[in-house]
Amino acid sequence: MSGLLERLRLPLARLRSGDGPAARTSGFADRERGPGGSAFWVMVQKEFGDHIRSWRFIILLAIVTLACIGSIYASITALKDAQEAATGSGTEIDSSFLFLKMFTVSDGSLPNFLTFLSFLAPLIGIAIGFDSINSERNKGTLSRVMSQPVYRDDFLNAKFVAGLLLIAVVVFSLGFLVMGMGLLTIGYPPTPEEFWRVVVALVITTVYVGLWLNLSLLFSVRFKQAATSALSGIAVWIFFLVFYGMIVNLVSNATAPGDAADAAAYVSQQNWMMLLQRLSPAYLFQEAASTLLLPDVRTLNPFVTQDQAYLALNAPLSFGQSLLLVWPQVVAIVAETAVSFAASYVAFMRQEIRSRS
Amino acid sequence: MFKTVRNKMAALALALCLGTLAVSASAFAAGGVKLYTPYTSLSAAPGETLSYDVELINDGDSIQTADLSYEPIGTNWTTDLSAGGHPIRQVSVKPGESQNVNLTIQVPYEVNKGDYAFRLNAGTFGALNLKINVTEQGTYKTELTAEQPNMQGNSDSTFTYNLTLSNRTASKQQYALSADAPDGWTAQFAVSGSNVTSVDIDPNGSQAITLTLTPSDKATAQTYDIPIQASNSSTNAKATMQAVITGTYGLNLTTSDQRLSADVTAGGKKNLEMVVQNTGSSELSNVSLTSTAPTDWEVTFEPKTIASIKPGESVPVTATIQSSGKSLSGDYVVGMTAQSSEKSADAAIRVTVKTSVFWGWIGVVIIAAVLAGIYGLFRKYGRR
Repeated sequence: MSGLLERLRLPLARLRSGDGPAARTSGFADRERGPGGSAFWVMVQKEFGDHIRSWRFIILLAIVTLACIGSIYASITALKDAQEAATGSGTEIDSSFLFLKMFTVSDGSLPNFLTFLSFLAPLIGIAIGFDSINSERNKGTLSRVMSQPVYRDDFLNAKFVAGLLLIAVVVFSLGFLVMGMGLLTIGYPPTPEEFWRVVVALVITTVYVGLWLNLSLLFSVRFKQAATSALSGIAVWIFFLVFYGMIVNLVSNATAPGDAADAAAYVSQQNWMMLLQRLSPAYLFQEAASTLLLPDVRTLNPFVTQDQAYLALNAPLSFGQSLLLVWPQVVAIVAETAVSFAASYVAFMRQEIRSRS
Repeated sequence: MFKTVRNKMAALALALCLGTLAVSASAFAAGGVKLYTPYTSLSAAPGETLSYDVELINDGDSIQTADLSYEPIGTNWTTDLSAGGHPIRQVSVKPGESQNVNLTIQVPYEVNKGDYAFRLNAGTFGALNLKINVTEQGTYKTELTAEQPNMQGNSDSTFTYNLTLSNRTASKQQYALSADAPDGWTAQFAVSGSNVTSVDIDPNGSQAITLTLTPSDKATAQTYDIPIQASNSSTNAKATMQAVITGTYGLNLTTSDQRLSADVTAGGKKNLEMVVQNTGSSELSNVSLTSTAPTDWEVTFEPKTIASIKPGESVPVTATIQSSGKSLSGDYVVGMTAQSSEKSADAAIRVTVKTSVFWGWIGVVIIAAVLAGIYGLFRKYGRR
């Protein structure tokens, strides 16, 4: 953190000496305006750089990238098999939204890209956030930074913004990696609509991973030991991605209506279970992203009644309608992310900062 | 014995004298030998078969044997001599007895009206002269006639002609039936209710055939001549049917801007300006509008029925589509039908159900509220 302190002093010195020549040497400082802003962006940049160079991040990135490449391979194999089967039987392959299928189909050997992303991407968020506050506190660098003339909340904000930027970079590079490899292998260019669908899905992924980042930030504020906060983050992750579905299944089995013929009771029970499922951010993300990447999805209800299906055409939804369909999910993810950030913010601001606390 | 011989000689001389004058059926031959058939002059129609019972009578006292021969009238005439079921060329008759020989003559189809003479020679029995009067001019052809070859109707009506096909030839014929209908018309031949393209008819037989003509939709008001033909390699018959089209019925249902798609919010209403157009040349009456819509949807028309539409005119109709609140977002088909007593027209409208944007704004408000809360936290805790 010594490097950070030096760089922090730089814009501050510039501020004191008006427009010092020292500031000119740093191209970065040119863009800054105001005392809070410049110090804040210095901290963001430092944080960002630290993460990029850390072994932890490189290892995680390697794992996620490998998983994604595997899923691309699986989806491309599935697409090619479908193509061969179609040419073999003389029928035309359904090429509508073929580009999006790279994100959602799989030949069964590996989960598809979306599943991998919803499973592994939270780990990036947890890994970035779990020791961000408490390790600084334990090393004593927190109090040293705070002794500088920076706003106290900028420290946490910088941690969050740097983490979110990093996540955005990772998610988007993975997404564009899939797009590029898809272009290379299937040679089927995306339509503008397909492109925007992917971009919005990636934005939602970023926000979703931001939620996990905020959770681990909260843990790192709350717990003094980095190991405890890491474990808590991973515990929540495992709970929502592995156990939560099982628990909902158990509840579903226990509350299943005795009379199998009672359709109304069955439907209402299933709707309750769906509501329960949607408490999990992972499930919300799956719904939101898969609906965006599968334009044929017309409803997220567990049931489509005969009345609803009668005279309905089997046609994909427009992009706007797909987005409107998952808008509640998107709102929920964004709100959960914001609320968890607010929680860590309050927790951090209420804590005392002593040197070597 | 001597007397008999003398008598015989005398009879023979007499026969020789009268031989050329013999016109009577029973020809006198030597020694009471006679040839007899009762009907010596018969009338017959072309194609008919005449049958003669010829009796050879031997009044003498010795067995008489005679060769039978005849001269055919013409090449087309079929003549047969038979006895006991077999063709016969020679007959022997015991004294005091008689033998019957059957002679059949078939009158050909292709024969002129008039009298024809036939002569049967029976050697010692003498000869028999027969006269056949053919009562009508014979034909050798097929006839195709229609009860009512001219019919009138609309372009939507079907024309049904009752035809009779007669085979006036000597042999059984198979006829291929064809109608040279204008483009877009369909012609269908039927025999006793089954559709056919060819018929078999026995000689001198006939068959009732029904021809059903369906005019094309675009048939204009005019008289159409439809030549029909029953033919095979050896014979054919032709006739011409007339179908007089008085006008056409045409009905068209579309939207005023020809766009067959619409957007509707789930649970919302949408007005569509429809146009019912009479594209035919006859007036349409009692046009009613109906619809097939997804469950719980309602489609109402204003007006619901149109009393009559003159040719070339169009009537605007407002269709109000009320969608169900439970509909999924995406595309549905709403079918609309304009039905007059004569003609109907369909229009399938693709209705895209859109989710209400209201809840989208609620979501935006929620996010804004959360962000405002965070800003409040910034104000409360930060920048101290």
